[in-house]
Amino acid sequence: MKLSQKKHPLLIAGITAALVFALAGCASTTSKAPQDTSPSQEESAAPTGGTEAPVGSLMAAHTLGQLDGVALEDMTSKFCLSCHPRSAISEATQDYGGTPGYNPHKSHYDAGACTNCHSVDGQSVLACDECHTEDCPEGWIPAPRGENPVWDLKKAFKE
Amino acid sequence: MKEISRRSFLTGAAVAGVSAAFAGTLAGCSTTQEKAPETPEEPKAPATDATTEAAAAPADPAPAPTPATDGKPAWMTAPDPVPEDEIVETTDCEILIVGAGVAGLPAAMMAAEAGADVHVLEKGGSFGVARLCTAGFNSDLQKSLGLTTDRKDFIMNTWAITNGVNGRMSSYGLWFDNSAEYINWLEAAFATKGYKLIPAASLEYKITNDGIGMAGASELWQCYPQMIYFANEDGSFFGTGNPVNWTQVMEEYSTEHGAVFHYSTPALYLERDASGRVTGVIAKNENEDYVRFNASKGVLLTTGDMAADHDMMEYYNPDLAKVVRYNINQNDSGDGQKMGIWIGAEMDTAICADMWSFSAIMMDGKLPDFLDGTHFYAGVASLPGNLMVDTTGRRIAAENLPFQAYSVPKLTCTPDGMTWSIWDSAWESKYPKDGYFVEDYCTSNTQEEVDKNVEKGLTFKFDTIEELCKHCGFDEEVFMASFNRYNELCDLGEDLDFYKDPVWMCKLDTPPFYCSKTCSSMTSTRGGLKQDERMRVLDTKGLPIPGLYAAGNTAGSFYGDVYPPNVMGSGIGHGQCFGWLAIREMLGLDYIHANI
Ligand code: HEC
Ligand code: HEC
Ligand code: HEC
Repeated sequence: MKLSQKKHPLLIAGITAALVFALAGCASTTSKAPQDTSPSQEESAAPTGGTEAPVGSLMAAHTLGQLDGVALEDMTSKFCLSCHPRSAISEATQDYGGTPGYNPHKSHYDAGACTNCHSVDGQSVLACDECHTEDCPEGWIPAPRGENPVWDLKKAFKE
Repeated sequence: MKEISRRSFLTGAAVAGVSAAFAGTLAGCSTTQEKAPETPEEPKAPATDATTEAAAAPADPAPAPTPATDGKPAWMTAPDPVPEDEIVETTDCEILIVGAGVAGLPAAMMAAEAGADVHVLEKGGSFGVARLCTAGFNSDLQKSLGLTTDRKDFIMNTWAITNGVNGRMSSYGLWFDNSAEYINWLEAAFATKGYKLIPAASLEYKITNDGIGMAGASELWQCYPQMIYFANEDGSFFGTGNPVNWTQVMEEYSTEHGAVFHYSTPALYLERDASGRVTGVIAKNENEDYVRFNASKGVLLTTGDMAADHDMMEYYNPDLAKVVRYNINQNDSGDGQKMGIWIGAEMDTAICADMWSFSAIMMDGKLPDFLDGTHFYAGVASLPGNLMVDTTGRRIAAENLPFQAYSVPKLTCTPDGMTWSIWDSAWESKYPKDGYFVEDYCTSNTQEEVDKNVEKGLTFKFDTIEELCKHCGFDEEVFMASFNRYNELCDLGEDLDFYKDPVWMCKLDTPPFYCSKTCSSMTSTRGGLKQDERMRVLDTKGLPIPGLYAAGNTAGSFYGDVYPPNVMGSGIGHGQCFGWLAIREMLGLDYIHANI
């Protein structure tokens, strides 16, 4: 079962515009106006997947051009957290998908940078599923199963 | 050898000199075979750069660390100090706890409750996962239920089982003596949050064969009522499907009493002043900014074990390289141990691990993807009535050893930490009904489960023992000798080789025969920084490093190289108690001191 993202249709409509910004690869993160629609792209600029950023990617989510022209290496957690405070994202995904205690933003796991799960313009990956079996949000894929044992969080026992 | 994940390395030790250190790590990959720790260096503080205000250089300032080239593993080398101008924030407090897991949390509760200014750093995004239980002896709760333990009996038997205890001889006594007060205190704290504690021995419910009243239990089972579960007010607990997220309760309690938690904030290295006293740490916060924490009363290292750093783990116990199933999360890369080593603390030279002996494994060496974390044995494969042999076909131990004990010969006496479990079609009628659980914590011991696993290719079924031998790839001579000898001993009614209880000596004579391969599984390593009976971390001269404490799986001087298989909950039990004691020691609160 996939969890459906509660997306406002308006946001989807804005995707195309966001893409245009992204393609521009401009340096200013505050700039809202498209300046250059040239498809040529720096290595370090936020790449785009072509004409459509996949559902679940950051480019699809940011409809107001917030990430336009931001180089990949500048997509740090610090950058993301400046707009999405930890308390807000933790609250948003508390008991995510109906699993008590399961929260991709507040867990025992050292999940690392935001972009370890949230892909800028590709498929986002649920890192937790390297070991767990939680359902993915729409457009997301589970991380490949690691060498570690699988833990079904819906079960009660703990070694 | 497993590959080091680059990311976990970076988060574990990311510092200014990261590229140099990383190269060093890669270079050091091949040095794990060099087992014997060399003469440790003189203690030296890594953060004694002249620019570091908090740490004026002691007599022996550390030179800029270089990647390992001298055969010393890379993780033994301290990272370069972070340049002073990159440290964006300094927090002064009294007590700093590094690691919000099962040992650090009770310490945070204690410190906060006592009114200390306490900060807790945690590398993960939240507190550690709540585990099975805690443990202790002769608490008010246990005594009220008639569950008392004799000190001498417990210590002597545990010493006997663990070859005299390779840790500090007084460790078990220190835990025994202080655990009652720790559990009394914990019970009271949890009561304020609407939870209670329930001694496992007071329940009908058992997680697995604990030897008590079980037919054919090994004489080596020496059981004590130390295990204690966390329960809801109405008595429900994980065994009734209502687990208490007790690490969360501990975090809440600590926070309510004033402790401050910093998540996604790994400590990178310890800082010391001119006198050598540990003054605090440099850490990296979730914005990836460097921050300094100064702790006037002490730093407690409770970062957990080292199983996520395979190089480090295998350095201290090469047999652990044979473990296949690491039931860990990847945060536990020995960070506290390393930080201690970098300033000249002494490590245990022998470590052990908490092992589960009979984890299922497929023929291709992979864990079965249809079993999950809590049901990870193949049905019947762990029962003591089976014949168990290594991958050459050799029998290695009594199959009815106490819980977890089989894991020791399984690691030390086999080439690969694997055994095959073999039983016949009449197992159900032969095995004593009161000797095992049908529905166990780890599996369902039913023919139905066996049939299911045969279908899945986890368990195999053969009409002749010769076919079975061939399938398992045994050395025919070795296996047939073991098999015939085993059946002879069954006929004789006495296991002259390993003294397995006669009720479990069930002749393998009813085809078809079943077999399933089992690997070794572990939860965590046990062994770390040597400490004294006041939880103070010791240097290589055996003297305490002022201001530095350790507890839980980060601390040493307890187990040595044998984990006592029968004392369930010893790791959490003594780890929590000792974290709690470390805080009491820092604050000058009383507790029972060991006679050493
Ligand atoms: C300049 C502020 C800003 C920055 C920086 C920023 N975001 Fe956002 N983000 C927003 C806003 C505003 C929205 C609401 C959607 C919209 O209209 O664009 C949003 C939406 C999102 C969403 C989807 C929310 C939903 O409801 O599904 C995700 C996921 C997200 N951001 C993650 C990130 C990550 C990860 C980063 C760092 C790479 C980041 N954001 C950086 C402002 C920002
Ligand atoms: C372990 C994977 C993972 C990591 C790491 C992660 N996220 Fe998320 N995030 C998720 C998932 C899963 C969702 C839910 C997406 C959905 O429902 O479509 C989510 C949703 C969000 C949302 C939308 C919340 C809402 O209002 O519904 C924001 C904003 C967000 N993440 C920001 C961040 C930021 C900022 C970081 C880094 C500090 C981060 N995430 C790190 C997995 C992750
Ligand atoms: C490397 C493996 C691994 C990864 C990756 C992992 N976990 Fe876990 N997780 C575990 C293990 C193992 C346990 C159970 C340990 C035990 O109880 O014995 C666990 C337990 C949990 C629990 C139960 C906690 C409790 O107190 O009952 C939650 C919730 C959880 N994980 C959430 C997450 C989230 C969210 C992520 C991703 C951000 C994640 N995990 C990633 C291994 C992992």
